[in-house]
Amino acid sequence: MSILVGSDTRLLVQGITGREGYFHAQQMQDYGTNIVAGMTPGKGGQTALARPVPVFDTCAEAVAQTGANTSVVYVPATGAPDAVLEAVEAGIKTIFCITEHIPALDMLRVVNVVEQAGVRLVGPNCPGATSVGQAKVGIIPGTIHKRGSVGVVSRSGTLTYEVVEALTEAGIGQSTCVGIGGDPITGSGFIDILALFRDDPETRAVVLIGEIGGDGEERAADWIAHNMPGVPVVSFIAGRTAPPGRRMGHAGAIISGGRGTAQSKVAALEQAGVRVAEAPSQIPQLLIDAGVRPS
Amino acid sequence: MTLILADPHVQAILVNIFGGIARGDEVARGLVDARRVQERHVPMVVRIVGTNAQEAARILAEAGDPDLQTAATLDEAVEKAVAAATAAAVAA
Repeated sequence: MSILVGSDTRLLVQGITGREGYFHAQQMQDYGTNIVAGMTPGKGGQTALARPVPVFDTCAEAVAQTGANTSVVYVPATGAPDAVLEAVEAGIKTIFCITEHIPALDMLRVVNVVEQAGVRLVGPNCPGATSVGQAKVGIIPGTIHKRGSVGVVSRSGTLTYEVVEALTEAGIGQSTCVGIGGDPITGSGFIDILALFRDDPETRAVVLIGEIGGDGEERAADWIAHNMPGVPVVSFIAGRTAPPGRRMGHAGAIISGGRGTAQSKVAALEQAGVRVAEAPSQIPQLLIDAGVRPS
Repeated sequence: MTLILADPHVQAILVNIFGGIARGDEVARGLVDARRVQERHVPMVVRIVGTNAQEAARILAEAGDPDLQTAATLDEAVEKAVAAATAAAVAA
């Protein structure tokens, strides 16, 4: 078991003939992900990758011909919202949108359609997800993992990699690592992913990596307090020294009107019984303190 | 880099890249090129891991820049950058 992606994933890569799409599709295939198709309008009939997969003009054709059940979007921001909507229309149930710089107003429309269709969207502006030893979907480097029982969920791509590498070096393996993205409007939030981890028999502890801006971490803390009793949860919040009113890298990482500070998030998490690290490199020790055994 | 160095208080630069979509070799090449055109030079500590990290390490090593150090971990990079900045502040 794992969450979101696994050995039953049949992946469609949207934008597979583009520079980033092709490069990362090959990395995913090399990791062992079952890529069944690619799609780029106008490139139908071609093949792509070292172990060739067919390229289609539309998502509908790709799904009909290959039984794809998951898609990943590497389409540039101007076309990415439509790419997600096309995947929904074609019946894909899990969609990862890697693309950065999609206008918030466009995502508002997309997220509404996605929710009404009962589809799970992760992103945009996210690194995707890796279920260790089974499948990686997105751009998380494949070399940093060790298989185990810690689930990782994060708003930041780079911090996900930092923490996963630190866990692996400490002998603590991961079940699934998920980046939910740094935009103000995203598909899945922390609570959506935490609920999946809670119900996953392979996941026995969780690392939650947050950052300034919004109230996702505060709401997650409240949810953890009520829904994950007995599950060790360790957290890190980026942006403790961030000046108010300045956007820190991610579009959603901004303290506005005194709300969304690191202090508020840390306090909420600690009140929920979550151990909060002051630096990413402390996370492995906090997990060990919470009862996780390295191997 | 020009913007950062325009601040006279800056005594050292720390660059930390854990490449997912970013490719380490492209970042390394950009850093080396950017340093060549600066008028002011300060020590720089670079940590590049993730996508194409090996190629990045080769590019940084071949740059032959005595003020450019590399680090394997973020904690090590921070220590080296703080040490370099402190040494520069003392000298000045």
